[in-house]
Parts: sequence; C-alpha cells; structure tokens
Amino acid sequence: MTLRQRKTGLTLFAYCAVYFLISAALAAEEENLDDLFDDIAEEVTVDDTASVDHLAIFEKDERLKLFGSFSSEAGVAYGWKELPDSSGGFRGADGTIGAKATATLGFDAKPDSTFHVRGSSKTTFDPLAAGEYAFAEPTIEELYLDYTFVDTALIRVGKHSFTWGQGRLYTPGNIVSDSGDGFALRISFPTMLSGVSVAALAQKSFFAEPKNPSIRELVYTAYADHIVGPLRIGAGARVQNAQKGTEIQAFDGLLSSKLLALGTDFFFDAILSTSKNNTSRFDGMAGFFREWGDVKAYGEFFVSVPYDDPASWIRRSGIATAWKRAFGSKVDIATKWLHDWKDSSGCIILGASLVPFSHVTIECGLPFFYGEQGTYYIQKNEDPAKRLFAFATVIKIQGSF
Amino acid sequence: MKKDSIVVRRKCSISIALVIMSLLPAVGFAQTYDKLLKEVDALVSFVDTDLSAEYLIETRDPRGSASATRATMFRRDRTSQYLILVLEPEIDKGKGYLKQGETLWLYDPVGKTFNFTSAKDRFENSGARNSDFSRSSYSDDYRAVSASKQKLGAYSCDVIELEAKNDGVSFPKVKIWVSDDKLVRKIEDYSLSGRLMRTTAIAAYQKIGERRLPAKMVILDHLKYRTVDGKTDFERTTVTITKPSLAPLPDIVYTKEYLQKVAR
Repeated sequence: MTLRQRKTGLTLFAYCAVYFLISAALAAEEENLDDLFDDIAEEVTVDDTASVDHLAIFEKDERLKLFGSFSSEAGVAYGWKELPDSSGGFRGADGTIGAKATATLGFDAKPDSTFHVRGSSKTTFDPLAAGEYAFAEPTIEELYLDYTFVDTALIRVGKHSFTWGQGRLYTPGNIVSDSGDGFALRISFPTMLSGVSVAALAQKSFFAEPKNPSIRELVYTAYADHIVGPLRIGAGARVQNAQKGTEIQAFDGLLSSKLLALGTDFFFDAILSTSKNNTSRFDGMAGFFREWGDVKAYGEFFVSVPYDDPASWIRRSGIATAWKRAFGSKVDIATKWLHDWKDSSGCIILGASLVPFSHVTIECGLPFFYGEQGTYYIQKNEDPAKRLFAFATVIKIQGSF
Repeated sequence: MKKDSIVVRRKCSISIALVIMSLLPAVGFAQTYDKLLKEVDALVSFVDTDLSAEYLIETRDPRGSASATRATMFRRDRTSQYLILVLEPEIDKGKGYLKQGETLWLYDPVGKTFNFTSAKDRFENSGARNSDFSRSSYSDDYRAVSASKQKLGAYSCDVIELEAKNDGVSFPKVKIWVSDDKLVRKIEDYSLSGRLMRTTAIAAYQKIGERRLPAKMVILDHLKYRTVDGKTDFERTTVTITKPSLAPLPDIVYTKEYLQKVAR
C-alpha cells in the first residue's frame, strides 16, 4: 500500500467517523417516548362497568335546543360578457355590486329517547334579486318528527328531505330530490341488510285536485343498501301510479354502487326512467372521490340517453379539487371544471376563501364560461349580468348559535 | 449397483431429515409468536360485550400550535363495528364515524352527507388513525418475522417484528414491545420501504373485568416534524380514554340512521 493510498484511506475513515458521530448526536436529539416507561404504570381497575350511559349525552340531554344563524354579505363583481375575438380585447365590460342577508331560526326537541321534533325557518333580504328592501316572508325549511319504534324502525313524518345517489356534480341518482318540497313519511329499518327504507311523498303538484287527493297520485319509494367488504350496493325505485289524475304511470329505478379501493371511492349510479307517455331514458353517472388530508379531489362523468332518440345522448364531465390551508396559509382554494362534450360548452371556476377574523369570511372567485350562445353551460350561467369572464369578491359576516 | 442405490437413498433420507430439522425452529417460532399475538389481541378485545368510552385527543404540532378533539366511541368487537361521535371542538360537533365491517363512513352534519373514508386515514387530522379505534387484530393481520428480548424502561419485553398478511392494514410493517403481562407497551409503524412512520407508547392501561383498555397513549408522527438547532420535534398526539362502560347497546346504534338522528 502506498503512502498516498494510506492517506486516502485515513481521510475516508475520518469522514465516516465524523458522519457517524454527527448522526449519533442528531439521533440522540430526536424526541423519544421511552422515558414514559421509566416506572411501572399503576393499573386502574374500573369496577363499575355498566352505569355510565354514553348514549344519554346524545339522546336525553338538551331536551329543547334553539338554534339559528344570521349572515350578511356584500360583494362586487367585474367582468366581460364577450370573450376577445380576432380583433383582440374584451368587450361588454360590466361591474355590479350586491348585498344579501339570510337568517334562520329553529328548534330541536327530544322529550325522550324515542321521540324527536325538529323545525327551522328561513328568511332572506335580497333587494337586487327580489326588488324589495325588506325581508321576505319566512319559509319553513324543515318541520318533522322522528319516532323510534322498539329500536328497529325509525319513522320520520313531516317536511324533510332525503337523498339517494352519490353524485356531487351530477345527481341523476337522486330520484327523490323533490322529497323536501312537500310532506313525506319515511320508515327506515337500519338493521335490515345495511339499511332499508320506504317512503311516501305528497305534494300539491302531484294531485289533479289537491283537496281531494287520490292514493294513486302519491309517490311511493323504496331503497335498500347492502355492504359486502369494500363494496356497497344499493337499489331503489320510485313509483307513481297516476300523475295528476291521468293514467300516466311513472317509474324510476336506481342501481347504485360504491367501491373503496386504493384509498379512493369509486362509484356509479344507473337510472332507468320510464313512463307511458314515451319519455323514457337511461341516465348514468360514474366518478371517484379521494382525500389526502387537507386536499380533496373528485371527478364525475354523466350520460343521459333518451329512449326514443338515443343518438342525441348527452355526456358531461366535471372535476373539482379543494385544498384547505393551501401552502400552510389560512387560505382555502378550490377549482372546478365542468364540460359538455356534446355542445362543447363549459365553465372553469377558481375560488379562494379566507377567514381573517372570527365570523368574517372573504371569498374570491374567477368564473370563466365558454361555448356558443344557447349551449348548456352558457344557459346555466347564474350571473344575472351573464358575464363570461369575471372577478368576484364577497365579504361575509356570519354567526350561528 | 444395489449398494450404491442404498447409499443414495440413505443420503436422500439424511438430507430430508436435515431440511425438516432446519425448518422445525421456524415452525416453532411462528407457532410461539402466533399464540402470543392471539393472547395480546384477546386481552384487549371485548367480544362478548359492547364497549363505550370517552376519548380526548390532544395534538401538538411541531410548531407548537395545539388542538383537541373530544369524542365518544361505541364499539362492538364481535361484529367489527364502531361509532364515534365528535363532541368538541364545537365546529365539528355532530360529526360521526361509523364502521360496519370493512366499510367506514364519515358523516358531515352540516351537509348531511355520508362519505366513505379509509381506516388508514388520520382521525380528525391527529396522529391517531381511524383503524386505532378498531379491536386489536395483530394475529389476523400480521405474521411475526423476528423477535428478541429487550428492556423498555422498567418493563421486560418481547420485541416482535411483524409483516402484514394483507394490504387492508394501515402500516405494512410493525414492531411491537409486549410486556410479560401480554400487553403492548410500544408500537413502531413502518412503511414498506422500512421508513419509521409513527411511534406509539401506551403508557397506562385500565382493567375492565378480565380485559384491558389503554388509559393513555402518546403518538409521535414521524412524517410531521421540525428540526431546530439539531433537535427534531415530531407532531405529538396524546389520547386519553376515560369513563369506559360495558353497558349493552342496541343494534341500531351502529347504523347510519342512528348517526343522522343523534348528530345535531
């Protein structure tokens, strides 16, 4: 071995020694839990194992609870009704301001563990939409009773809404979307399969003579859910024997499934709607949902195929993301892109939300609509000024009790 | 020729015997530790009763900010079900987790919606995972690959390295310290590549009948850390379990409808 080789070896050895010493020093500085075991922990024996009733906190406490909320918001939006053409530059600039206030008031009573009544009403002050500088007449949002029958059936009667299907962007599977519009009786058997429920819906619009309704004009629904491993399968139906006194029958059948795989929810809804007036169609929706801590993403694809003209089928897709506390800041950001593949219209929305102080929220949005006049998403633009590209910001003060 | 054949046969027999003998310790090892894991699981499982208790989960992130969640848990080990209802903070009150077999639902009372969630996910953004609320299932989900004896402070422990038998578990590799009384005192959770992900110390147990329930657990999340002046601080979650009860609960408790009913 030459002197030079020896020197190189010694240098390498020195480097290694220093590296291990530093590593050992750093490792020694790491937080450690072993000191928790320095002494044998005293084992506490719980003698009374039956008297603590944790359910009572949820079933018996707070027998009557009042709740409500008030929110007041003001905003400004500026944008353009036309996109730049070949001559360049935006046209149709328009700026608007807006203000709105919403109040809700409700109660929730649980006289005992089997009986529960809940109701809430809502009123809105929206001068720009209603043209009135006064609060609107309050409306009943929900008013229903729950009765638990020998711990096997839950009966809910009154004005209340329930949802089926799994879509967030496209909801063809929610064939009971009008359940909250009138009066509904729903009986659930939660311990049967993974949940079975039947319901009857009544609304003024269902009846030819609302004061003399026929039992055949009521809407009847049923839904059953079953879970097998990571797979959830649901099937439901909605039937109305006679629509508004006519002999037209309506039937909606729903098959719904969700699979949890690779940490992601994959789901689909398939809906077959038929009626005797030849307006039958098939709707389908498939999508995914994934959550990584503060980041969420979901996407859906929707098709609707009319029975009498399958060539005119509709297909739309949407993808959305949300990131809470983006980049470690206090700002939440979100994006959404919806697109109609048939008429090539769509919208892209970028949004951000910040809560700088308690009860104060600042929201900003950048909506961008594209497509020819009369196409689906151009018509769906909820901006009263029909701007295609805009910047909108809203400051909201709100609180609930 | 006949003599050669006898020699070959003898050699084969000896080889087979040697192979069998060399495998015997491995079989013995697997049986020994499989039995130990079963005992470990049995001691903290409540298969003949329901279990309910209050959980306080306090998290301190490496930058020093702290948060706390108080929740009530209802558990039925014989059917692999649990229901967790969040009581605090006020903004999350009414949020609920419902486990039915392999399925875990998360209920949001504001949107009145149910979402599928994963048992591997963090519970309320703390160091605890949703799977930590399930019954202990080391013997079903893992196999022992090595073991040694080690002192852990005042405890004399078997340190067992485990590998997952299925991909439904939160961590594919786990190292557990089991004290002489068959209780798990410390757990290190590893990724497939061998990276330390989480350390849990079960500092104290409470005795309920013949079973045990942790009274206090401390979890260090090795994925959330901050190094200042050579000192590394991890996110630290302390779980305190109080008011355990074995009172029987109706079947309806472990259903979505019940969760909707009580989430106000």
